[in-house]
Amino acid sequence: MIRKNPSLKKCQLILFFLALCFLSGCSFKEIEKSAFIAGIGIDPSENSERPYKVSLKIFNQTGTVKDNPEPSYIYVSEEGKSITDAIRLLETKVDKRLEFGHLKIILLGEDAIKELQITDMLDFLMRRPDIQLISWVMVGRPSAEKVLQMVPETETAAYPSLYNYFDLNANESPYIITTYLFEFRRQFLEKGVEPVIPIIEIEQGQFVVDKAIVIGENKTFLELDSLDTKIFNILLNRAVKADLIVEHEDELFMVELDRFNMDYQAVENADGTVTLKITFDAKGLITESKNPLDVENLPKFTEWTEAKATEDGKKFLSKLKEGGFDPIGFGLYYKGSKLHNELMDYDEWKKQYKNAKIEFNINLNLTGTGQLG
Amino acid sequence: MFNETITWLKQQLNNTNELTQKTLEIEDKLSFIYFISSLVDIEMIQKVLIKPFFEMPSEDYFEAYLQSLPQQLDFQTKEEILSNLLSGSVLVALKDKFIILNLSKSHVDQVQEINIEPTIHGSHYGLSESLITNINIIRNYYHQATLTVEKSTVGKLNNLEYALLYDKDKVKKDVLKKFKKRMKTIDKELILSSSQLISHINNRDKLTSYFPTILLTERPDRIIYNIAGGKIIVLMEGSTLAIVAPAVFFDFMVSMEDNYHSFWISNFLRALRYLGLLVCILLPGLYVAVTTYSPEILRVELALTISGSRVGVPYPPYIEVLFMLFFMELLVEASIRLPRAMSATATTVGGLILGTAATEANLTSNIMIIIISAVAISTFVIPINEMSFAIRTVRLALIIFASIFGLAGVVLAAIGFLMYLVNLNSYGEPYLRFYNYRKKKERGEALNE
Amino acid sequence: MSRYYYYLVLVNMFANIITSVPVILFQNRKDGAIISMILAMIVGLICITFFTKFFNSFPGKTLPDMLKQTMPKWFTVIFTFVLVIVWFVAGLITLITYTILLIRFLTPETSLVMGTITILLFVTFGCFMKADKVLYTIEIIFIITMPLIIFIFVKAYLDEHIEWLYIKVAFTHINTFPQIIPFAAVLFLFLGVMNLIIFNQFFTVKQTFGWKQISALTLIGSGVLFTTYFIPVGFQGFENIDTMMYPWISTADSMRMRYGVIERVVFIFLLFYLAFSVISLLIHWHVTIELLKSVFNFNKLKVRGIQVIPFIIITIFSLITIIAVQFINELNLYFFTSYFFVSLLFLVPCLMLVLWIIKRRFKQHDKKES
Repeated sequence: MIRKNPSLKKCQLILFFLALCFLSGCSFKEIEKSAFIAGIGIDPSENSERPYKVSLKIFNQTGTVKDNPEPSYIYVSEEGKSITDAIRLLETKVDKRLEFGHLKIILLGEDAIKELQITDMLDFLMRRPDIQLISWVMVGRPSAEKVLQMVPETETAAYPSLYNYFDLNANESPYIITTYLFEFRRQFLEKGVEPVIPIIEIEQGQFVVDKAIVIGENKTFLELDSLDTKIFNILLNRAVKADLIVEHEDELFMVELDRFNMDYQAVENADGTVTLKITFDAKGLITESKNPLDVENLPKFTEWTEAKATEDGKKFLSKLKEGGFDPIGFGLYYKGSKLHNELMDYDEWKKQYKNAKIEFNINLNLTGTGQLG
Repeated sequence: MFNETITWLKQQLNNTNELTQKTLEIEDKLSFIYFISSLVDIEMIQKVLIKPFFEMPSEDYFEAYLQSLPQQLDFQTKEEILSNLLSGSVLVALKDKFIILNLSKSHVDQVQEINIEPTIHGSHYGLSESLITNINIIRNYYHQATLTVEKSTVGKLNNLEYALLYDKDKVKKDVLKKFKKRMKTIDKELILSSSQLISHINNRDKLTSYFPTILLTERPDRIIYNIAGGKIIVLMEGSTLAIVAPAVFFDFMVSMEDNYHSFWISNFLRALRYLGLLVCILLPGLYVAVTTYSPEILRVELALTISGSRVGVPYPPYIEVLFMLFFMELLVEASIRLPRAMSATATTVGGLILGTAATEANLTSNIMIIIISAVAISTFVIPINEMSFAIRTVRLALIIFASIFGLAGVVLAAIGFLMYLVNLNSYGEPYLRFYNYRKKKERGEALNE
Repeated sequence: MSRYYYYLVLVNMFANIITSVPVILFQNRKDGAIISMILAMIVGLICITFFTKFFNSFPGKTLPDMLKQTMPKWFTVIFTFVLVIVWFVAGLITLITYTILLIRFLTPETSLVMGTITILLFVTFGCFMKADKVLYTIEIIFIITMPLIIFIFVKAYLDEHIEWLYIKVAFTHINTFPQIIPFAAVLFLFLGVMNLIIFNQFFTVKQTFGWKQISALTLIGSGVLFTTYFIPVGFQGFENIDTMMYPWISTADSMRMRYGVIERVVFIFLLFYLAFSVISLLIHWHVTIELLKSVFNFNKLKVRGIQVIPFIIITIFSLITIIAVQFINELNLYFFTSYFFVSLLFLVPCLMLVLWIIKRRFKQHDKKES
């Protein structure tokens, strides 16, 4: 049989026309009738009945980018019983359909994470199928709304400048921590590792993104200052390059580290205590110095740098450990190191973690003193 | 019997007044010649017939001379005599006997320049309108004893001659049988050109055969390429286009230049062509799907640009696309119909002025104009015209499904289109499959060696 | 083996890894998912070997042909009907899962019925094609989509945000007792070979099937299983992955193509998987139609020279699908699918038994003749 059964053709024809009839009933929105949301901010409100204050930053597109090269946004905010409730109310404030598909910035107010339930916010963000899991989660200081409404002078149309900090295309500063929504979720829900999200501050009409906050269990928080943030970034291999200031007697020089590699372990000792082992390898280059340096002294410089790095690293780790925070994931490592029924229970682990010993091994390889001797 | 035939012939050709009778008589030699003066080569008659007649010593000599001429044709019935006369032969009556000589004069055996399938490299001359010349061209290109030529006629009224050419060793026997059978079933009064013949070959499944399953070409190199690939070629008297059967999908995507370039370049060009095919099928549908259902698939900047450029456009995207496609098709049609000197004006007016004015007047977005132009250009990348005609209409279906079911509709419709192509057959050959027909043949040969 | 054989096996493997199979596995991640996977893979490979060897010894013959020659009529009819139902449901599950998925993620504005009709339109066209045409279609779609799906898998493995510690944690649950539902679900991935009951008519030449082929399938199978289970764990964490409705869609959404034309991988993934599920559906329903053809004579019922039975079949198929789509939600679908997988545990041994009897009867027949 070469040609198809004629009856089938007719049948398909009928089905086809059936489908065409539905065309009249099909409903679609047109692209210019939707309002693209650039960012969402969640703050606590003063009204205890309606605790969530949701702000949106919406692209205001009235023509082509060529026609209006200045960035222009619409800001709306509303209080609601839940986030969805607030969104429903917001829909009445905007004449177009709210389109969450391009949402990239999720700003949680500094007070929001402390006063409101993070699980509720996560639930909203994860449940909506149109919110990208690769949007960035960050904390706004003093409030999400303020940060959301800030438009620095360097901003171009159609691309909010906050995007540039996190999209890894423009800015590669070691002080910036990038946390995707899916990362935030998995770290927040999993026992044994805690999420770290960047804090956005405003200073003289510009964003400052150099601090971060660790969200611990039971509403405990640890703010990382810029140095800690940098160390954290280096340790977790998130930064591409980082600088280290080394002071020794009257020598002072800067080392630029790159190609780092960190390996961490949490080992349970025979007596039930825990040792945290960290091995850190990096290559470095001296980039700036107060006094002229001699290349022959490179081993000495290496030694000083290693000492300095170990000191910084240990300080950072003990700060985390003593607060009971575990953003690096020692707990996770421990969970994966043994069969699940041989682990100590979680509370015990927390206790042991706080009292754990730290072993910090560092292998630096200074390759030179730059172009000057 | 002799006189009967002559009277019958005269009766038949009564109205034309063109049948010329000449009596050749000298001493005891007598002969009559009949011909239609507008069809025969008068000089040849003079050279081949009349001069020898007067030089020959006797009628016997003359008859033997005529019988040995290469132009001499065999015949059985008086109807055959008539049809030969009508195709330009000369009837010689000698001693109660008829001898027919083909001394036809043709003004159409000049080789035509190629204008449908131009290439940069490769020959610039195609076939002529004379069947003999065309067979001659092909024999000249393809020196194989296995090349078989079978002549026959088609059309009850005009009895147009055609020739079936194929390589006896390479052609598939069952395909050949099927094709011959199909040719025999053609029951038409008038067949004028090979393009018309094609539509009659396909007559039986007019509704289902939407895609061309037979290829028309004017390039001798493509004909040779296909003969070597085991295909059947049909050449027709009076037509510069040859029919190639069976033709599968990939045959329509081959440009002869692929064989003239170096490996990487020809592969690049091939990839470009398939990409063009994809673009011209999918792009309008994708535009409709993205702008109506899923703008989140685009990057922010692009989404905003499209959204911004659509501000003020009164129609939904699918009407916008159909509207612009409609004008593009009109433009293409118009520039074919117009004389060459004026078609440039049509494209300028249509393409440039209308396009700009339409965006200025906010009837369409400028992204739309870009898309339509891209689609139009990529349609012309397909080397065989019939295929690009078929492809042009497929995208309309895709637009409909895109407006029903968004991106999923586009993908589904594309799969449906694929299934349709796969389901087609060209004389028992599957129309679309991953390994193409010719490659399979080549592999088969390699195995035989 | 002919490459078309691999398409049959692989399509079933790949088409199901993003739908309910991983969800079922994650539900049981702390009680025996991994061991179930390993066991199911071993059993699955045994099934593959059995079915392939059997059909290979009867080149070009379909199961209905063989049933007719060796079994009583009543048994043939009943058994064929059981098979029809199983294969129809297999296709139905794919269709419903995918329609819901598409409407959730891609075109929330389209109505469910509309989406179902659009898919039905093309699939009903496809599944009435001849077996060789179905296989050619599969080949083309397979070859177009496969590179991209592999690319996404490779990208997932190399992504800097995949956390291997979660995968290690998932591994620590290896010492739990296997469960029946995840076992059945994983076994289903390997049952693509059962489509040979109809598609065997395409394989008219005896094929070689030995250790090489089995080890290739083992390699691919274990790779696919590992990917299905551990990639989402690596992206979404271990503790709470069971709360996700579509772990694989979320995982695809967690990948970002920084320099790609489309930044969000999830859309490419959805569209290419749509093509994949269409061909899976095509295979299953083609088998269904061919089985029905063996029971009913399509030429019997004709109105003005037009066969009526295909109309009736299409109408029944469409009606069942459209009704089912409206009644089944995501939770129902999960249970429905689980029951279907478990029911396969009964069907596969039955089918094997029948095949064994057929083989014996053919042998007896041959002996008598000689």
